[in-house]
This record gives sequence, structure tokens and C-alpha cells, in this order.
Amino acid sequence: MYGHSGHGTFPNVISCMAAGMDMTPLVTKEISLDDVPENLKLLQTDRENCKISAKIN
Amino acid sequence: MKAVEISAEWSPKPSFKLGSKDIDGKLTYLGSQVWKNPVVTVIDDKPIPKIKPNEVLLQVKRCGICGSDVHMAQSYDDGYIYYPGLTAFPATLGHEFAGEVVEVGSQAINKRTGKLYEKGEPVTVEEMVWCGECKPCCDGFPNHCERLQEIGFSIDGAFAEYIAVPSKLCWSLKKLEGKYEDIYKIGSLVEPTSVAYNAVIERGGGIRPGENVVILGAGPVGLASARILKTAGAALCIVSEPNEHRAKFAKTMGADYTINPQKENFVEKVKEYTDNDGAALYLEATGLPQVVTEDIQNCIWECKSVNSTVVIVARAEQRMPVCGEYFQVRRARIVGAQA
Repeated sequence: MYGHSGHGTFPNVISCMAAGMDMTPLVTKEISLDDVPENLKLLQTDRENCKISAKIN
Repeated sequence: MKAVEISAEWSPKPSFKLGSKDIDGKLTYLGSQVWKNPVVTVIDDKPIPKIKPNEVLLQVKRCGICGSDVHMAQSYDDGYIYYPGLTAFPATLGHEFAGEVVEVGSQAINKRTGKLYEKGEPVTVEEMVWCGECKPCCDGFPNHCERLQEIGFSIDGAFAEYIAVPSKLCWSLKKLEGKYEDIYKIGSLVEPTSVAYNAVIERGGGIRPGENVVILGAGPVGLASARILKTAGAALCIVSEPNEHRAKFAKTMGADYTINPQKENFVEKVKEYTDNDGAALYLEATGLPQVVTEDIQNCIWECKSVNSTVVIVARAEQRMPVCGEYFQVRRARIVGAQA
């Protein structure tokens, strides 16, 4: 359950990023769609990775 | 098209009662009470979705894995899934995403221009599909929509080559062009960053430049919160995290100091680093309230700052053992933020 619609939250976050708030270091691993199932399993125990990001298209 | 789909058995626990908004055999607000033996598969032949007039079709470029994706696919020994929230399976997973508009419905308005979307616009998308017509929506609380659907939880998500989404949920990424090598990579981080922004700014009330903050737990939300609060002008950002790798990472994201709460005395370290001032804002991002509440309230009690806010963003079944007296005397407060 998420709760972040409204209140300017999404556009403010994008504006912060445009002004230099770089969050990309959060991505510690890049994978393909085919790798998603095994990485869902990996994250059950892995604490070294932060955000695993699938590159699609 | 290719998509990553989760399926599971509808097998309600004996104690489960079908809620007013649940649909027997299909949708529940209490996932971990119902779904058993989850299976995640990559399918190759899912049809590309057709758009409605108020929707756009996105070619998905990036989609991140969230803890809740992990918990939907993870089960306890009795087979029931970890994830306790709104779910309807089978569904394509994925809700932290960015993509390019490739088809535009006849009523799909771009908030950036006030006109119809054009093909090629880079966007990210809110995960909560609020209706805009029920009482909570009309009162300005779309997160509490009575007819809520969630992308990647109860309807198809973005671990797929294409996704159709209502244009009202889309936010243009145009202003990131030229500022980042891959705007879709950072664009897919807008959603998780918004969870952190909602917690520390919207719900926690933010800080005044020069105030200190303490973040407990260096998962993605804790780390994003560190970066946001430094951007908001935090004088000192202290992150408490037992995993050394993550603690080191917290420094990259803006932490001035880190504390290993399993090896160091948390309260003494906060007092030392802040010269006994303590913090204006404490973020509980560990999911271990039975462990960390004592430390937080002892800080509030022993440090000089009054009016501290404790924001709870992590989900947990355990209760917080709160000493009301400390909060009463120190004018402190606790607020919740959906995560």
C-alpha cells in the first residue's frame, strides 16, 4: 500500500532531481526482464544491493 | 510482448473474512491472509494492452525492484505470501518505472503542457490508481481512495515491454533531459523517492535548515530520505544501520555520520555527534519498532531539542513500546506515513 499521490510530491521530486538531487547511486545492479524472477529471490537475503533496476527496451 | 507475471492460489486462511472491497477469488486488501504458493514467471506472449481514451501507452524503459515485489513473491513455511496489502493475481509485477509515450488516448492530457500527450514524451507514473470520484478522493486524499487499484499489485505493472496507464497518473520527465545520461534510470527512481518525500516532508512536516535528522535503517527509503533531508538543509544527517556496506553507502547519499547500533551506543553517539542537541526529525525505516523505539525516545528525552517528530514509514506487525511521558514533556510527536 503506497501513499504518495497528490500534494505536489511527484513533481517536486522530479524538480529536485532536475536541480541536482541525484538518486542514481541507489541503483547497484542493472538486469534484463528475464533476470527479474531470480533477482526477486536474491533480494530475500541479499543486503549488499540497494535498488536493482531492469533495463527494458 | 514479454512480461513478468506473478500468480498464486486463492486459499483464504480460516480466520479470513471477505472484506467489503474484496472480490472472492480475485482481489483482497489482505494479501498475506489469502494468497498461497506464489510463482513468478516470464511470459513471452502477453498481448500489448489497448488504451482507453484517458490513457497513454508507454514503452517501458526502466523498472526497479521494490521490497514489496520481493514480499509478494516470498512465502512463509505455510505457503502464504509475506505481502500483507492490496493484491489481485495473476498480475504483471513492477511499479517503479519510467517509459516513453508511444500511443495517446483522445482525452489523455499532459499536465506539463495542458494539452494532449504527444508521442515521445518521457514520463514516470504514480503507482496508486485513484478514482477521483469517491469521498476521500474529492476531499483531497487520493491515497485513501475507496476504489483504489495499484499498478503492479492489483492490476498489471511495468515489468513488461508496454503498459497502458491513465494520463492523470503520469508526470513528464522532460526537465531531466540534458541533466542525466539516462533520464529513464533516474525517472524510475521518482516513485521510491516519493515514498521518502511523502514520509519526511509531507507527513513529517520537513525541517528548518540547520536542524539535525536521524534516520534508522539504510534501505532505499532511508537512503532517499537522507538525500532529501540534506537537500532540505539538514545540518547533520545521522544514519543508524548495522550492515557495514549499507552504512558506507549512506555516506554517499548524504549521511554525515553513521552509527552501528549493534556495536555502538546509539543514544550516546547521537548526543556526541550533535553536541547534545539531538534531532528535529527521527525516521523509523527499519521495520523493527520493538528494537528501535527505546533508542529514539531516549534520544528525545536526553537531548536538548524539543518538538521532535518521529515518522514511521516502515511496515511492522510489532507494536511500538512508547513512553508517553517523554513525548508529553518534550512536546514530541509520532506520525505515520504510508510506505
